[in-house]
Amino acid sequence: MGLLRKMRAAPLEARMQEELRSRRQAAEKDPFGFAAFSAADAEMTGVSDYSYWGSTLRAFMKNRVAVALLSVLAALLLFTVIQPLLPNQYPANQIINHPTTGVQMSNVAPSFTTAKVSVPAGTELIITPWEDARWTAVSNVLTGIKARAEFTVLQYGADYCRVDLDGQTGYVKNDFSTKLKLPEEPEKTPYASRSNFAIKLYSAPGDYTNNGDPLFVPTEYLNIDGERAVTNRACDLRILPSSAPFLFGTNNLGQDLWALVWRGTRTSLFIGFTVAVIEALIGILVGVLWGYVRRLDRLLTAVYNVVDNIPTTIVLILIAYVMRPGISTLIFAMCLTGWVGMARFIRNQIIIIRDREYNMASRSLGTSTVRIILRNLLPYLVSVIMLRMALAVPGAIGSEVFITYIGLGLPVSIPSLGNLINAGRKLISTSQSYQLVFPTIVLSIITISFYMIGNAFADAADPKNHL
Amino acid sequence: MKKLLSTLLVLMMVASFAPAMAEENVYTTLYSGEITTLNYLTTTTTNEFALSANLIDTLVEYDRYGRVQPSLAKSWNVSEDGLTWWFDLRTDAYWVDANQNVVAPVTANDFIAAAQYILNAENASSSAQTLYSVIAGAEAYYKGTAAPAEGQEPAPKMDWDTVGIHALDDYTLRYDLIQPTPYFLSMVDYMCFMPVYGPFLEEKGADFGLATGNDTILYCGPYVLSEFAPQERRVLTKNETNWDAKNVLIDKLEFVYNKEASTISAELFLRGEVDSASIDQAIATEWLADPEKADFIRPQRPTSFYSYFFAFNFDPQFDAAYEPDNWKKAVVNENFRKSFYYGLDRVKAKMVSDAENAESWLFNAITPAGFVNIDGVDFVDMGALKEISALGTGTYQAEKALEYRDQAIAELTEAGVTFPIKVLFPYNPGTTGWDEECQVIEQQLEELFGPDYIDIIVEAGPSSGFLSEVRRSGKYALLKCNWGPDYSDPQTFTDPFAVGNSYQFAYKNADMDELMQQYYALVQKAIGITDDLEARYLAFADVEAFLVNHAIVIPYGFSTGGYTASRIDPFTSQYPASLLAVERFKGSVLLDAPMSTDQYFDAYDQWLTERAALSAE
Amino acid sequence: MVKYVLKRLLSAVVTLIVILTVVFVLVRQMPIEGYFDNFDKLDQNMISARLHQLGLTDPLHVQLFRFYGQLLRGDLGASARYRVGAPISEIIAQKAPLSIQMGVMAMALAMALGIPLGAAMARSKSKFWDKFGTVFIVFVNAVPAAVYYIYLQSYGSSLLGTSMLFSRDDWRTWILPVFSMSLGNIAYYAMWLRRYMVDELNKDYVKLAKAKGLSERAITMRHVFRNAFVPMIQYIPTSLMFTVCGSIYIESLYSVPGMGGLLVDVISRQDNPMVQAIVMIYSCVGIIGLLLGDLLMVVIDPRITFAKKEDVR
Repeated sequence: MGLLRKMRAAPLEARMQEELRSRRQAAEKDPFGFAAFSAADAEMTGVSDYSYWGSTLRAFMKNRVAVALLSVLAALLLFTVIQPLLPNQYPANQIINHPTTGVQMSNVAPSFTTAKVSVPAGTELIITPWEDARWTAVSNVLTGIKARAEFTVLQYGADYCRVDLDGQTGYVKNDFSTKLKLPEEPEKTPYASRSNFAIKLYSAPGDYTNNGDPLFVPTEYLNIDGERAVTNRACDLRILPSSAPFLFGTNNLGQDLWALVWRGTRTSLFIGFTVAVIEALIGILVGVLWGYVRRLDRLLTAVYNVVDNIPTTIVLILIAYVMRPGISTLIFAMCLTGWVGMARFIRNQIIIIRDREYNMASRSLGTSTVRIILRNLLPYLVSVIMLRMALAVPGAIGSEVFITYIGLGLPVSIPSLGNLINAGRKLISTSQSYQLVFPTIVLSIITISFYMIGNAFADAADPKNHL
Repeated sequence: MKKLLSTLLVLMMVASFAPAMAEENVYTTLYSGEITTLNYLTTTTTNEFALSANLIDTLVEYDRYGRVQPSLAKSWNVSEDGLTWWFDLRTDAYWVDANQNVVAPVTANDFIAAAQYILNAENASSSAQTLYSVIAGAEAYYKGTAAPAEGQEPAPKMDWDTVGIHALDDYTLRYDLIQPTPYFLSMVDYMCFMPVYGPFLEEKGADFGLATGNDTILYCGPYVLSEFAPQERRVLTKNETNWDAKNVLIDKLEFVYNKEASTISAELFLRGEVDSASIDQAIATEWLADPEKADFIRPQRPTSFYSYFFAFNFDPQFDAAYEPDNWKKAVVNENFRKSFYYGLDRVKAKMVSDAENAESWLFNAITPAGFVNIDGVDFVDMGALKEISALGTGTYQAEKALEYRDQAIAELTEAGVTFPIKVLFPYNPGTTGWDEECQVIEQQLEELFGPDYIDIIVEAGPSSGFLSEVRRSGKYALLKCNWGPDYSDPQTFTDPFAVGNSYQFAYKNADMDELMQQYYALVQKAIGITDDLEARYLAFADVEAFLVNHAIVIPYGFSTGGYTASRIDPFTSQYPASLLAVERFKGSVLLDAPMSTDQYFDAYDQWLTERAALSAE
Repeated sequence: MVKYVLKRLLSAVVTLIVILTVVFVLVRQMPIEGYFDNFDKLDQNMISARLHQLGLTDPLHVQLFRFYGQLLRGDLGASARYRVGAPISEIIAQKAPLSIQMGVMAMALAMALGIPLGAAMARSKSKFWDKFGTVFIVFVNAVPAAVYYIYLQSYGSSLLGTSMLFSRDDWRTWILPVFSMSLGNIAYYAMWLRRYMVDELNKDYVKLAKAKGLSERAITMRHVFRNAFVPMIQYIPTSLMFTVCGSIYIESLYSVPGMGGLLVDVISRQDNPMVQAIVMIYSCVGIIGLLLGDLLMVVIDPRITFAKKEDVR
């Protein structure tokens, strides 16, 4: 509408600018001369280039915090899409196994590097053979000792004891994790000892393993001699034959949490946006009709009461029973039960303003209902609607967390923030709490952004703030 | 002066408390599954019989070494043909109410009253089937009390005298069986053979056993339910009138209800608010790495004998999109199945639930390790199963698996099977950890075999109605199933594969007939041996070895018990030779400090030695 | 006005019947095996015997009539699976008072803290209170409740020196659950009140009042606050009623034996009589809440009216 007016006003404006210029020149020459009548002047008061949305945008941009958060959100969204394309990334659901033992790399702590131990040049290591030529699997484990197998202690040490196991000499860790069976005076060697646990026999008093599994070092850093090797420079022994770190660590299954979090954010945001938009459309439509058209009030109140009071849990269980758990099922279930909140909210707002004078005036002028709704009511409510919609996205994600809590959410093979947070809940007091912290931080950033942006937009959309 | 007086007073107060504190032996823990009823005659759920096992005594019970001990029955004997059992009851057992007031002595009539209640179909007891599967005349009587199905004739009403349960006098009980049942004694320690005080049952009528308070049942066991607030707490107090009260070492058992027990019990244990807590795998790894906390936890002794195995479906009924016909042709090929048997890394899959001790939860037969034994030799180490069990985790042999794969590919391509073969592998999303396990197995097998052999499709089934929707309707190709024993004999583990089973439907597939006929013949042979226990077990060992050698199912293991932080000494509790024995607290010793893993292994060794010494006697 | 209320009540009854019937039919679509715990071990006889006992083998309309007949006689029925045989009214009578107590306390705390906070935020726009309030609201909304409740319980209880679990007699164990429950509502009230008040503050009559020379305080308290409060009023009865229905997270964590989570429990256990009874109670609560909220709005703001056009003079 404004554009049309602008187009019509353009030639008029051009003429006015000319008039103004000529008048200014005339006024400079003769400030006290008479001003003549001009038709263009008369028109000038009727045209303005005020644009509602333009002013809203300008007011919004002035709020630097909101703008900053908007860019953060946009960056986040972009990142969830491009993350899989970056180099050195693990696929989201891929279980990462240790290359030589085949065991999952579960619960690796988050770190910027894959290096486990730094060793100086000249360190002796033992090789575990495997295929790759560029990296060598090393450790300082001579052999494993079975639980309750006996060995002879040759020299006692507070941290490591030197022992003899069937002719092989090596070192054995002496701490709470091995609980060696030692006599009253452990320094008086030799004596027999054992542990109730399966332990390792090391070639030197130190632990160059990843919880007992071999570490990796580039082959060129070693001087190899059969099964033994010596490092030829100071280097890092890594947990995997690559330097692609687990920035967020791994979870219990051995999946890279970094990839899971971004994949999950993408899924959750997708669900959130879809649900918010659909809910808004249905909610506004029903809410407006409910609030404005008096005849529908009773009927829609009844419908609302019915839909609102049927427990969402029953609906969710039955839907999950008929349609297998999945993203579309979840979206369908959440929209089915979620539109009522928005409808009620809009209806209440409409009730408050529907009998204000300006609406009564419109009605007595004979304006059609549709026009009243679109021109009188909805624009008045833009600010609160925007806020509500902005909060609907994190709200949808929050509902997803709750639905997963009661067991009806997405299957674990589809990562989502809800899944990740629920899986991490039990780990709060453990050292694996990073599996909870990272998804929560991402969720918090999303919620904070939407909140601030929603509030800023609502503030900006209020026409009173445009001046 | 004042100070002296007040100090004296305080000392006196403390002194008066001290004896009280020294006497009271209280065990507190959290629970998250509330019982729905106290009526032990109708229910078979673990939650409920775990409680009843401590409140009601049975004819026999088991000691810590798994040897049967007299309980309400002083002695018993069996007839030559094995069809009749007599039990002599003790005369010093009494029924008491929740306040431990004596109501009446326990007599043989109480067992009759209980059986009559259970076999009355109107009471809808879930343990009726166990009873009528073994007692002569019980099934006909039960059917006679049932309301007929639509359009069918009602079954004839039978007289109670036709049922094989008789009270010869107040303290002698006789059971007549349908066929010789060597494991009958272990069956007798179960709910359907529990007594109930007849006049009390009649008086209460429909209110008997309602979970509304502790006054709806009478007690004769080692404990009474002194406090019961459902969804809040329950307190069991030692029953001083019990015939064996001196062997009940813990005075009070306090259970506090908390739905988040798995999340917060570890923390509560550290604060000393509970005496035992089940420790999650994540927290266990954490504590084991901490020098102080490492001593608080120990592995949990497997107490439930539910056996888990992977079943192949021989009669697939799933969607055409997953190519059921293709699967049906493939699964009857033995090499195909064997490639799975040797290719599945069970340890890796188990590590999802227990990273430290995954191997300890696996076994290689359908009957679990530790379930039954003869003179200390475990069933799974007998006869044909010996070699199979000795393999341990060595069932995973990648080269062999690939060999079988190549053979299978050659044979199946001739049969017209298209590769990759789609394998529908569903799981129940309501069970924690199952989906993770499926993911691990899927990736492990596909990595081993390459993309041209099989394509495993992991799918979530519905969480309610999973069994009927997925397993019983045959909508799977490969599925992790489980079966729990009904009595202490390997025969119970042949039920899931019997004709008409709802597990793997082998009987419906004509191409499996030859193999299954052999199997059923072996089963029949084993069931028939009722006089010589060793021969019987060897025959059942043949049965299970047959299943494993032809890879008809892939055995898996226990569902893990993980770690626990507990002040109870597990080797003093009754050994789980029957379903109820493991739930009893009678005889359990409450230690001052929790047992550590180290102490656990030492104590286990000692227990094994003691048990071996006893069997040698 | 009275006519309107009566009409609403009448349609409320009709709505209730519709809700109950819909739920009644829905729960009977659930799979049969959910009614049994050891489904695999039961044979057909026992399954049909039990279903017969539960009354599920009769045709749907027969079951429906039986249910309404019972209801009209004032009998809510007995629980079939949750606590077998126990009268439902007894179960609810045990649990509801605790939830109601906690709910009322949490609501009172939320209103006592949230509303002044919202007003302070609106008045001191962009100054201290606004910033503090914003941080608080953002934090409460950003971190999922399921997560910060656990932290609150763990650190709060060691700080206060009380047990982690709730027990009726120890007053100190009431603090954490009530406080946790109120946090969400405090944030909610503060946020929305601030928004409505800020909207009002931009209106012309406020400019007029300022020009007239009224004090800042008088304007905010006597005019702006009242106008801004109107849209908030309708939520109070409903949220009161629903807080009373118990919070599932809190009650699970602290072992509070209340109503929270009861509905989810009985639905998953497929205890049909309890599901129907609880749905009925919650529906009544919800419908009455909606009605009260609407009435309150009319009472506070004379410009709002529900009456038909003809009735307005």
